[in-house]
Amino acid sequence: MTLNRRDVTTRLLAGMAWTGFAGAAAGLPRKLLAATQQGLAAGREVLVALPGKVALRRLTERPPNFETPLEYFRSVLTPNEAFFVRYHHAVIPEIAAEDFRLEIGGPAAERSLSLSLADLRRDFPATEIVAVCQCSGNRRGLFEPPVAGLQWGHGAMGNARWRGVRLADLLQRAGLKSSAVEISFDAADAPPLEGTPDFIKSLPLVKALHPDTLIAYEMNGAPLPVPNGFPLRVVVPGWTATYWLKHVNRISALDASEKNFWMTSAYRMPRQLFPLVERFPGQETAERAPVTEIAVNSLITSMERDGTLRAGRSALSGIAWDAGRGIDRVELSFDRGASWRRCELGEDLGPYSFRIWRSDWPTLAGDLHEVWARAANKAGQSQVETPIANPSGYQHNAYHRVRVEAQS
Amino acid sequence: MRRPTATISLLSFLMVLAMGVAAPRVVAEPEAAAGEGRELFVARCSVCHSIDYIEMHARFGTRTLWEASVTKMRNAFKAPITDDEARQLVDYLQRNYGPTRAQRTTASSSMSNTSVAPGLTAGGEPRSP
Repeated sequence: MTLNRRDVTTRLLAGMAWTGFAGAAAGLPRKLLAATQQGLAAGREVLVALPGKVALRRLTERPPNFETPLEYFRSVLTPNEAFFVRYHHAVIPEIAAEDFRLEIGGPAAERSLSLSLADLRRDFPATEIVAVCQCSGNRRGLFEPPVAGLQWGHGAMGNARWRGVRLADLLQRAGLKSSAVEISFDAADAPPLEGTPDFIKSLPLVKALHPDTLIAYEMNGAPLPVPNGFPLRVVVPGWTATYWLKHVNRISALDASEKNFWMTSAYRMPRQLFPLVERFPGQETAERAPVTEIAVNSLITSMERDGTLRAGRSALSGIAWDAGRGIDRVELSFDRGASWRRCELGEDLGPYSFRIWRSDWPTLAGDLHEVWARAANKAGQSQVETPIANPSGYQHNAYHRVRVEAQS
Repeated sequence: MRRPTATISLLSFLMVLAMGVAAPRVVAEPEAAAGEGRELFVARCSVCHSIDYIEMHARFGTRTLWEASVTKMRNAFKAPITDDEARQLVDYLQRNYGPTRAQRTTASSSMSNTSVAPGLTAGGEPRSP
């Protein structure tokens, strides 16, 4: 596909929200935003700009699922306007900041709280952390044989500096009974059909009380964009984005495990398939365990516009990340894995962040066809040569391989 | 709530220009394929999601896959679909979104062994080696 085959797609949706059709279809006229959308389409590649966003790769229009084009991963922090968007349900409410309340309670809470956004900012210390938010199914579209589900490429992830309050501080204010085992989260978005399971997720107590787990109101120094969770989202550094609920408006302390579809059926994998350090034992069965940690991974980001590298000419750089053990090394192979060369690591923004890496081109003997990248973390975990097949296509962390075009 | 501003629209527009594109045209949400079963699809499936969920599976949309999908929509997501309607929907999906059609329409988009996903770079997908 070449540039001259692209054409502009301009969508003028005056008076119609990007989720407006969903609301209408469900008999729920919840208009999110009247907007002008601009994008471009080329074959099956469709780039569309949601309100407040640059053009992202559209997987689905409703509910909206959009991934970040690879070029935005050349900076260590992913710009808010390019950050990926993932929704399970199509009814996305318009939330007025001044009316918003965060309700905290549940059977294992000593008392119930109802907090405004002003209360959160005034009554609880603010804290910041840089962390990768990555969909469990990022790169699902790269599995062979294919796996059903959203066919993500590399872009269902982003790295941001999150600012908010510690979940532990909120739970301390509410008071936890000794019976508390999990903390669950519900949010303002909803399915069009009443019978569809609402998207509710829970965390084990140890992760909910971890000082790095936040209820965030800002990313990269600005309020959360609407499609990224305005006004509040859960931030669970090191764990996949399924736990990072957007538009979160209810936090419940539970004295029994959360048993809805999204916990007991979705986001689960055969046990022991991945070397998890932080697990969720209360949700494990004999055969299956919830996806928890982000697998160690890396990405080459310095490709030319055609997606290839030019030997000796293109920059050689990219990013690496893991669940918070910290990146130990990134290596490149120019001979299909026969030998590996260590890269130089860039600035360290903390263990949960993308880490930029770069390399020079080696002196090459013979023809060069591909460059491979792989990362390992400080816990000794490393990427795999071929992705680990699993029924739902989670945790794809095979080496990144990029084709090299001969010099011309 | 943040609203789209003229600045952001302008940025998007500049980005579109920067990516080397031609004249604008107007499109709406992708439409379901015409033919028998389309009305039922719109009535039972489009209530919750757009057709692009279907299109992205077309390259491996076997009857088995569509049966599993419709079953999941009924059992897990409580879509109000009768047994008879389920059969009609699977027929429609298989007829219109099977791998044969996918190969015909996306022949240039098949996955390459080198794992650059289709359309992930500014310049689109990698050329075949």
